[in-house]
Amino acid sequence: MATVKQLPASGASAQAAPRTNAPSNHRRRRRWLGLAYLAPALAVYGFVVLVPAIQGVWLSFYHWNGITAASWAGLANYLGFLQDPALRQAIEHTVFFIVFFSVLPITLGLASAALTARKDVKGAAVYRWVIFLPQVLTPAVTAVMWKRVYAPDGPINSVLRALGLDSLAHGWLGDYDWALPALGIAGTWAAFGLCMVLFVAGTQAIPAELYDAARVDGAGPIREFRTVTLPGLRGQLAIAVTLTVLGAIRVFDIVWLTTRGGPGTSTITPTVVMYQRAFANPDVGAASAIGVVLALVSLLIALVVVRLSEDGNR
Amino acid sequence: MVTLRRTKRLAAVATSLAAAGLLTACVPGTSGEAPATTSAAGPIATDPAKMGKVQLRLLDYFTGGTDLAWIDGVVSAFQKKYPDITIERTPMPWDDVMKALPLKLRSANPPDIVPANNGWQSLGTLVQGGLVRNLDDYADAYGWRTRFPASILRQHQFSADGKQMGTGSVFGSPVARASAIEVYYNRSLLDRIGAAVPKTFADFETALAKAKSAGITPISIGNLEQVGITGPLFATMDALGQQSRISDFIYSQNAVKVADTGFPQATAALKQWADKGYFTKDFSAVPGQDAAQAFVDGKALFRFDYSGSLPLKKGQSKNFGSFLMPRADGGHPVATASSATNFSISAKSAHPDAAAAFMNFAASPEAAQLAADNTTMPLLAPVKPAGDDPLFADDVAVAAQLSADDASVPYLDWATPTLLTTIQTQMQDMLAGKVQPDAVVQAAQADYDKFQKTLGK
Repeated sequence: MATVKQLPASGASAQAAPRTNAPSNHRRRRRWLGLAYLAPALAVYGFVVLVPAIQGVWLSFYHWNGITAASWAGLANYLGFLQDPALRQAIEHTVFFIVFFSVLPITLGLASAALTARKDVKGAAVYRWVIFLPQVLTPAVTAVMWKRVYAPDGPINSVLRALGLDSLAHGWLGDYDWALPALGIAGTWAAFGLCMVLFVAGTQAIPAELYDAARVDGAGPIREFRTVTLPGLRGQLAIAVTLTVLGAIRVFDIVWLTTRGGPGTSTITPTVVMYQRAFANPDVGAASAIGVVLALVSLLIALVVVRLSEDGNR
Repeated sequence: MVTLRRTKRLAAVATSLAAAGLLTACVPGTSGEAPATTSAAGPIATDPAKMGKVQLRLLDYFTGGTDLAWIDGVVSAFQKKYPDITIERTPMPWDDVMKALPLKLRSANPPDIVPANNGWQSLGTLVQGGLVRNLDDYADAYGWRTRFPASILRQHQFSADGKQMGTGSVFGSPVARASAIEVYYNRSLLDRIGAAVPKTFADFETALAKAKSAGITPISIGNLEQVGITGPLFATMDALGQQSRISDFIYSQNAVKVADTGFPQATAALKQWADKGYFTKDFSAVPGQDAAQAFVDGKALFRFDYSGSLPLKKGQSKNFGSFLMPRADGGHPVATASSATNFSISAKSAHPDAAAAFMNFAASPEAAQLAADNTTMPLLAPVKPAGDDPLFADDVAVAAQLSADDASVPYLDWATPTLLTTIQTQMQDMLAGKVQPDAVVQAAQADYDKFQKTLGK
């Protein structure tokens, strides 16, 4: 941070301070060198991310079917966002998904970190590997797998029937009440491993002296968790919250590959609506507006989380 | 200091955004060529042997199975006949083609021949955008208007202003490969319930009831992905409605409402069948592929499917047959059917003559015979089925019947770009008892009216 502040803001200020000419020149060269190293990546990033992003913002102000001449829409696509019942429902589902994709995995991850971090559990590495596995799998693969798991003749129903609980067996993903939580649980399963690995790694970085001190002060396991483990995991928590909340906002694959937002619209998400508008029912402007809003919300969440975690470090 | 730097950074971002805005400050969709809705001026050539060396680029969605075998056969037969013309195929899955087509056609160097889907979701919009060539001159030169059944040719016609579908100039051509929504049946299960292939709508319903009471799933449906219900819905609509009304509604002629097409009767019938347990148990939660597989595995009596879509392994087809849903009024069966693909020529193609010659060949009796040789449903020409596959013999008979009676209707969802999504969502709600069948009809009509307004009607 300090170095950044000392860097001259422009060539003009460097000339205004001739006494520091030599080191400044040196720094300047270093800066150019740094930029030169960055250039290929920046160019690719600009071309692949920034340019399309700006185009997306631009398109969101038009009514456009992707082919014929577009007409200026002003803010209509954004206002439509507020009025569209499908989108409103999709946003409600996103809130629901945040619970399953973020709150639950983080809670479970913290619990497992608290339980395993301070003791040696036999085969812990194997458990972690198994629980982390979903992170390695392609979302398409997990979607197909969960489709199988929830199928009317799938394993869940087989187990229920074997237990004599036939009345509980469901066509889970085809059920208006169950489809959303069913997909949510799949999301919890996928995100849990990541949270756990993050938190376990985090607890291992917490100095053992802190735990010893807490124990000497007579802290029980819960108090130990609250006063030592949790503050020590602030950084990991920030990462986990950011990744999982953004995951919940962007959830698409598993919904599209299983229910396509159905039955009816009971599992529809903003990204599913966006995909439909962009490709199935050409309304590129409306799709772009959804994309822009999702990007802004994601950015805002990331900023808030980073700010909160930084504040705590001061 | 911090605030100052932040302001500067913001200003920089704003400037670059504004600059980008200026750079892209054209209205999307206007950078393309002028609409080519009228025939390109200049004479055309129809003798491929005199076109010189031409390399054609063909985009299609035939990526496997008998479809792939057919198109490969057609391409090599054409190249053998006209060695100067070579065809470079780019096959892509259907979804990818539909996503990429507008972009590809707007690019500087698009493929010469493209498979636009019929209807307003794809071909109609491409016509409005002037991205596909008007083929009137070739249609006249090759006699397409008389050679193809009117109900098939119509699927490729649009008015010059691009606001009316089903009439006017020709913007695409069919191929000699058909795809229809058929009813497939399991021969041994039909025997077991002591029924014959249904000749009337009442026969069909009786067979459903008999199968149900014999403990056999009457109709195999998997509607988890929302797509499983459209086949049964369209086929039932064709059985309960009138061919001309269905066509008129989709082509927006004669002010026909969706309520006049048999659509309300079909939704009500499906609801009734679902309530009677005629569909796969928990069909709303069954993946589509599982339902198709269950039918092939002999677990259901009937299945509505597109021609050639059953996941049959070699030698498995002996136990199956197909027919068109009989009409409730006893008339000849009507089917939602079209050519398996619809080829159009890119407006920017440098070789429209060669492209049209290939399309003409792909719609020829020779190409139909190649379809039959590859056991895939032919169109446009009478052919003899190859081998002794009874299911394929049925398919060929169905195709011949459709051509002879000129009895195909377009897919209902061609009527608007959003209708398929609307119907699929509403049908799920209706079958789950969340809304009444009337609500589906009203939603479909509202979707239709909204789109008609955008056409300026």
